[in-house]
Order: sequence, then C-alpha cells, then structure tokens
Amino acid sequence: MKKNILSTEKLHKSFSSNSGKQEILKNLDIEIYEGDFTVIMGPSGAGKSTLLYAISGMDTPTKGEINFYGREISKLSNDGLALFRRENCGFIFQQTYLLDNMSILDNVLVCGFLKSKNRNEVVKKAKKILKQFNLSEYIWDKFPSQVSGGEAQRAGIARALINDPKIVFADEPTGALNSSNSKVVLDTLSEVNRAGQSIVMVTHDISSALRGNRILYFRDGTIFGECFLDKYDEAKIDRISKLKDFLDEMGW
Amino acid sequence: MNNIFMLTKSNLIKNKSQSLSIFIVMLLVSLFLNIGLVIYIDVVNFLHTRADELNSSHFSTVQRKDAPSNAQINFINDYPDIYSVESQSVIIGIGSVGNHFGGFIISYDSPNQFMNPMTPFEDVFPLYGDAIYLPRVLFLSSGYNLGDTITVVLMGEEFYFTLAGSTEEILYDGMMNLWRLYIPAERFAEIQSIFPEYNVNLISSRMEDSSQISTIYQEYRNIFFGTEYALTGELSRFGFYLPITYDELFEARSSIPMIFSAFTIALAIILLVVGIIVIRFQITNNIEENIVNIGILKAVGHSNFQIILSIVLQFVFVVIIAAILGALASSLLIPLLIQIIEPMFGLRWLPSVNFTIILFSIFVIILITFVFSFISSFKINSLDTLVILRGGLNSYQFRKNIVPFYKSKNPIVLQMALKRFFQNKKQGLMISLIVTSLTFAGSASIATHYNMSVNIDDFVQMAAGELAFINLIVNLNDSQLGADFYNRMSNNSEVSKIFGSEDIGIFIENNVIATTIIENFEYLQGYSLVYGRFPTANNEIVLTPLALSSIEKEVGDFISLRTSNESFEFLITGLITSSNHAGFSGMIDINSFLILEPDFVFRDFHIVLEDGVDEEVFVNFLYETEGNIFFNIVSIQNEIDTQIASMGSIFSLIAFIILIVSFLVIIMILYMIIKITILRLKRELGIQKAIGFTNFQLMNQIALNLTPSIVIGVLTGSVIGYLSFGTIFGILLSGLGGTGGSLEAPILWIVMMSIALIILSYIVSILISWRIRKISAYSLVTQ
Repeated sequence: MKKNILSTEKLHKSFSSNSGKQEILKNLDIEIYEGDFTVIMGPSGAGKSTLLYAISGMDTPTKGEINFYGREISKLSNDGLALFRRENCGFIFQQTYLLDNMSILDNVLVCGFLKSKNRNEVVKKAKKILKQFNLSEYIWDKFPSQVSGGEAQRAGIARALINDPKIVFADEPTGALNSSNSKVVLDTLSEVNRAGQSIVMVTHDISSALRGNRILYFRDGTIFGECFLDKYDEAKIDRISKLKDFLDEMGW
Repeated sequence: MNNIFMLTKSNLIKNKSQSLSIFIVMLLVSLFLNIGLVIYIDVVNFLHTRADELNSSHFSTVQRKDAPSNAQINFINDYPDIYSVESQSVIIGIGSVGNHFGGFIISYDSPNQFMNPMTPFEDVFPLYGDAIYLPRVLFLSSGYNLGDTITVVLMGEEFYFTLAGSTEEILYDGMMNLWRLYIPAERFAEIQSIFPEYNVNLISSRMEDSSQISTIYQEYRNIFFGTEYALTGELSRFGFYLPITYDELFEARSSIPMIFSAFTIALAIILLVVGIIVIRFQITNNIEENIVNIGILKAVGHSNFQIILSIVLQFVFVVIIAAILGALASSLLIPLLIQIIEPMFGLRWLPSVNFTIILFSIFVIILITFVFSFISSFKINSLDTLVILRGGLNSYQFRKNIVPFYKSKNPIVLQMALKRFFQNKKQGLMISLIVTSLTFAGSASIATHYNMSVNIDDFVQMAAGELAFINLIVNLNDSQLGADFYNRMSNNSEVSKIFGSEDIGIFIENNVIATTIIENFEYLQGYSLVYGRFPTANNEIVLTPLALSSIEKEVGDFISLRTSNESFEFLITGLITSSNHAGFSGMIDINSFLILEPDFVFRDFHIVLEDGVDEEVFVNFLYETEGNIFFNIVSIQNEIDTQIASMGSIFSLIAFIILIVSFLVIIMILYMIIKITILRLKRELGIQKAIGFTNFQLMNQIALNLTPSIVIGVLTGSVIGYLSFGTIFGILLSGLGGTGGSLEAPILWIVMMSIALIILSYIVSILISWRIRKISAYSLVTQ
C-alpha cells in the first residue's frame, strides 16, 4: 500500500478577468503517492500548471483543502507556504529560473543554505549532485547565461534536490530544451525517481510522460482519466502503446 | 518630430512613478533656488530702492553749533561726488530706551528735512504732546505697545513719552547702535533748553557715485578727527557713532538675509545634483530595461538622435513643469518669508514677483537637465542594432562570481544582499553620492542649529570676537577716576578680571584709524587675530585688512603713528578682523600708546565676572555704589544674547527645513530605487519565493542590499559636513563681521543623526519592500 503524500479535497481555483470568472480547477480530488513519478497531461490551456502550482503551495486555492501528509497547507500564510516549500518541495521549471546573478554552484547552495545550518555538508552535497548530473567543476563558477540550456536545467534539478525534498514538482522541464538535452534531463529525473524520489510532472510531451508510472489526464478542471504504468524501463516498449491507447481514449 | 513626441509620450506614460520622483526633486530645486535668488537679489534691490525712495543720506555727520567755522559742511558741499546736502538741528546724546543703549538723535518733524524725512508706519497716533515715534526696528524689538509710557534716558536725564508710532529709518535704526527718535517740536525745544550744548547740526548728504562713500568717510576723518571741530566733553563719545555711512548700514542689514539666501541656494544646488544623479540613473536603467525596444526602433528606421531626444525630452518636459510649479510655489512663499525678514529692516517691503529671476532659474534648471540627460543617453549611439536584437546585450553583464557562497560564513540573506550590492556598483555609487550630498546638508544644518541655538559659545566668539568673554563695558565720566575704580573692582570677589580698553583715533601714516588701546594683550583670547601675532614689544601694532590696505602697507612693515603730541615708528605684527569703525581699526597696548600720549589714563574698562555671578544683580550693584562716576554700562552678554537669539531662530528654521528636506528626499529616492528594483528583479524575487525565502527575508535582502551604499554615503557626507562646516560657516559669517575663531560641528549630534539616518533608511526600505508580500510566488514566476 503506497503512502499518500499529498491530497486535495474539492479543490477549486478560479480567476476573475474582464471577460468574467474563469474556473480552472473544479472541486478537484486528487491523491499523490510516495515514490511515484506522477505525470499530469492534458490539452494546452487546460490548467495543468495551475494545478501543479496550487498543490505545491506556490499558489493558493480559491476553495478546498490541500493536505500534505495529512496536514492542511491550504490555509497557510504566504510565509508559511514559503517554509513549507523550503522544507518539503523541490521545483523544476520550464525556463530554468536559475538566479542569473549567481553562479551555478551558488544557485544550488542558496537553496541548501536556506534549510540546513551545516554549510560544509551542503557544499559537499551540492558538488556531489552536480557531478552526479554530469556538471563538471569547470562550470560551477559560471553564470546561468554562460552555460547551455541542458546544463542550466540539470543545475535546476540539482537545486530542486539539494534539500532532499519529499516531493519534486516539475513544470514542463524539457519544454525549452532540444531533444538531446531533454533526454539527459529526463534520464536524470528517472534516475532520482528510481532512487525513491516522489515526482509530480506536468507535460504535454509523450516521451516525457513515458517516464512516469502514473499518468493523470486533466481536462475541464478535473481529472478526466488515470493510467498506471510500470516504473520506467527504456527496454520495455509496451509502455508506449499503453500510454498512447490511454491518451487516445482521453481524446488527446 | 511627431515621432519623437510619440516616443516621449510613451516613455512618460511608462515611467510615471520614476518621473514623479524627478518632478518632486526638481520642484524643490526650483522652489529653493527661486527663494534664494529672490531673497538675495530683492534684499539688495529693496534696500537700495527704499533708500532712494526715502532719499536717504549716504554720508552723515554732525557739526557743533559752536564749531570754529563751517569747514565740515563746506568740505561735504565741495566734495566732488556729493550732489545734495542738508543740515538739521537735532539733539544728540548717549542714552537708552528700554534695554537698548547707544547713541540717540532727537529730532522733530521738520518740513525742511528732505533726506529720509519722518516716514511713519500706518499704525500711528499724531506726534503731539508727549508723543514719541521710535524707529520701526526699535519699536518691534522693544516689546512696547502704542500708548505705553516709555522712558528715554539721555545723558543721565530721564524723559517720559507716550509711544505713538514708528518710523522708517535707513541710517538711524539701531543697526549701528544709533537711533533717531521723533518728538513734537515743543518737547524738542524743552530738551534743547535743558541740553543746549547737545544741540548740533546733523549734516546729511547724497552722492552720485556710492562707491566713493568709504573714501569720503576716511578723508573726512583724516581732516576733522581730533581737531577743534570734534565733539568735546561728554559728547566726545558720540564720535563712536558718527560719521555714519550708508555702506555700513547696507552691509550690516543685508548680511543675515544674504546668509539665509546662501543656505537656500546651497540646498537647491545639492538637490539639483541629486536630481541629475537620479536622472542619470533612470536613463541608464531605462536603456538597460528597454534595450530590445531601442533595437526595434533602430531597426525600423529611427535615428540615434531621435531615440536620444525622445529620452531627453521625457525628462525635460517633467522638469519644465516642476520648475514652473516650483517657481510659482516660491512666489507664494516669498511674501511669507519677507514677513519674517521685514522686522529686521523696519522698512515697508512690498514683495513683487521677479519674473527675470523666475525665468532665469527655470532656464538654468532646464538647461542643466537637458545637458546631463543628453550626455547620459549618449551611449545609445554606441549600441549596435543587430547585437541588441540578437539579445547580445544583457542587462546584467556578470563576469565574476563575487563573494561565492561556498566560501562565505555570512547569513544567507546578508550574503545575497552583498552579492547584489557588488554586482550593482553603479547603482550603489549613485545612492552613495545622493546620500552623501543630503547627509552633508543634514550635518551642516544640525551643526548650524547646534551652534546658533544650543551651544552658542563658539558662535559668539566668532561673531563677537574678544567681547564674547566680556560681561560689562564701563565708561567712566572722568579718566581721573579710573585708577580707584580699577582697584575697587580688582578687589571685588565677584569680578574675575578688569582691564582697560579704549578706542582712540590715531593718525597712522596720515590716516585717522580708530585704534583700541588695550591694557595687556594677554587678557584677550586671541579670537580677533587672523594672521601674524599680537604685539609683544612697545612699538608694535595689529591692524584690520581695510586699515592696512588704506595705508598700502603689509604685515612686517614699519609705519608711523602720530597723536597731537608725538610720532613714532611701529611694526605691524598681525592682522585682526573687526567690523567696528567700518572695518578701519587697529590695536596696540597701553605701553605703546604711552610713548605717544604719556599722560593717558583709561576711562573705559572691560569687566569679566566670576562664574555664577548674576550680571544684572552686579550691574544694579554698580549703579548703587558707583553710579555717580560712570555714565554708561553696557551689558555685553545681554546684547549678545538678544542678537544671537534673533539670528538663532532664523538659522534654526533654515536648518530644520534643510534637515527635513534632506530626510524626505532620501526616503523618496529609496522609494524610487526599491520600486525599480522590485520591478527589475520580480523574476528573481519570485524564484527566491518559490524555493522558500520568506517575505521578511526578501525585504531584508532588498534593504541590506542598499545599506552599504547608504552607510558609505552617510559616513562620507557626515565626515565632509563635520570637517568643512567651520570653514563654510566662517565664510558665510564673514559678512556679519565675524572676528575669527571657528565653529565646530557637534560630533555626537552628527553621529546620532547618521545612525538615525541609517536606521530610518533601513526601516523605510523594509516598509517600501513590504509590497512584495502581496505578490504570490506563482504570479512572480509566471509574470
């Protein structure tokens, strides 16, 4: 029995604009499990990212509850959410969103130093993770604008993992990368997931979605369907057809 | 051109809040510059104009009724530049009205008086019976009300009058301790019969070329001083007050408003520097932020000049409106300020709008804005269109990883703030320069207030020189009484020190120069000495610069000193400053003077009381015990206190305004910078929020990022203010006849102000950054 990390109850999110009120999430009930690589797919503009940021504490819901290991986080203040994210979450964005006035190493360290008081330990760990993601010492002191997109995104993943988060949220992490860089990034994510890291990823790319073991199809403000795959294994090609069948069924 | 205006309009709309900060700073520049210039120029114009309107005398003296001949009036009549002379019968004497002691000219409303004729203010009763009109300044400062009975003491006799009004006086308003009182002709005749020997002719004259006033003054003294034409007996002391010149009065009257305007113009210049720095910052920032737009404009065919002009005009338009509104505001404020200054002049002052000054100041502000914004925008010329469009130019050209995290032990928020500080050195420099300018202004204003209102000793020393340490000046009726009086005072336990000090006219190289005979230079504090040394031998003298230049000699030269008895060679050992006797004076010691006048005995004494002795009680004691042997006691400290209090309140007001403006401008600049910073770093701040930074950490980071620049600026400004205050103030006070010495800025106050400024800036930065809390990490990232 998988342990529930995150769950929502009647989650509701709407935006008001000149054209009226737009409902993005409608009474959404969802559960995220420990160790899963959960992928959220859906048509463009369906609100996948809104869902991701709502359940990750980056944004506040209009109504409903979000529980993290049974503790409600939807009522937390801005600073409470910041502390929650610092302690429990890692984020990977489509644009790498590294701090461009900081070196690659500093970008990772800043996150680690926020949580841990043992700086030497954090520095050691950051260097280890960067090396693990094939980011050599040569680029540690470089700024994000001085490295390739793939390197920057891997640095972003390193930053997301430095605090051993209970869950990593990834929003189209390969959206801005070419295919070779995308593969490296996805391999990296698969690798950390195999090591036990829970991941929730939003994507509209099938090759990215294939890395997940649980696919949620989001449409019209709610989860429209769900598909379970085995843990990612490059050799097992039957995953592709299973996923494609699922997506066809969903009207993808 | 339409294109340029469209671009300018678009820039203006886009940068509304930035334009607002420029607008406020430049409005203040225009306001203070106009006030300073109008006060400065209007004071000069007003005094000259009013003196001309009242047909004031330029050079006045008195001729005894029993003078051997009409040589005095003939000299004046025949003087080349004199075009009008008149003579009035008046009564003169030493005396007092209330607390005001000095020389008095008693006159009546004569139809033949055309030079500064009796010109009452509106609030008067007729000059009838016991009525008396006082000069306006005396009327306002004496605290009397119309209808009050006042006592006029003249040569020891008391006369009672009913205060009926006040008059405009150019020369005899008390500025040089000489007042003219108007009484009815009947009372005049009555006093004339009591003091026939004090009835003299007041000779007034006007000159074509007012630059010759000091020449006629010196020539007149050279001819008539110490001759049979001089005032004799008890009236001889009246020679201190006359002759009197318009120049002396103008200098004395205009000095405080001049200092006021100098302070205001200095503040305007500091704010202008701040405004220019802010404009430069905004232009640089806008170019960086809108680099792609600039590239697009270039690509679609706009010339560099058009783009530069659109940026320049954006600021010029804002500054034009600010300068005009500032000038209008100054036109509203100036009449109020003149109401404050007017009582010091005692003259009718109807302020008018000076369009020349307004247009000039607006032109200067716009021109400076145009030039500096043009220079600041000029870098657009060197930007390559293709490079810009390919994104080759990044706002942040980071090259070196400054203060890397893995080497640092600092708290993370401080570390991030330091990193950004070192990466934004230009912004840091700008903030430091602005804060330096304003802290300098704040330090100077605090030091001014401190020296003029809190601890006034140094200022008193500077303004009053040696007199600062004197409590009383006693003038005896007869020099023969001097030795006994000296002994009695020396033995009095309440007297700390008594020494002779008397002004005597001496021929120095054929010029009569009022020379102070001092019992011993060791009794002086040395505050009047500005160059060289005081005399130590019996044939040495110190002179004022004017006296020295009038005889065309230098320190180290020998000069001849002559009285009616003897002539002797003296060595000039130093320069002193003094505003007495129109700046023509010198000082020698008694032993030197005895060579010239062997029989000389002091009849004037300076008394210094022991600490804690009540000056007023001691004066009463002197009146009771010695009242019959002296005709005058001047309570120096009392006079100094009165004058300093009036100056102090004006200077403190200016200081307060400067301090408040400095603080407000610093807060406004911080607001502008933080707002720009938040807009510019929205993405970075969003990322930091996303990874777990709290609002307070981000606010602290922004505040700490600015703190090093503020601390550097505050330290630099306060150190410059502290070190230069004495010199700057000394220059400003030279117009008041400052007699050397120096003012010190109160280091503790400045340190406290600096700490307050740093803390305030930090708190304000935190409060301004507070707006971050309203923005969610999500919106920061997605925007």
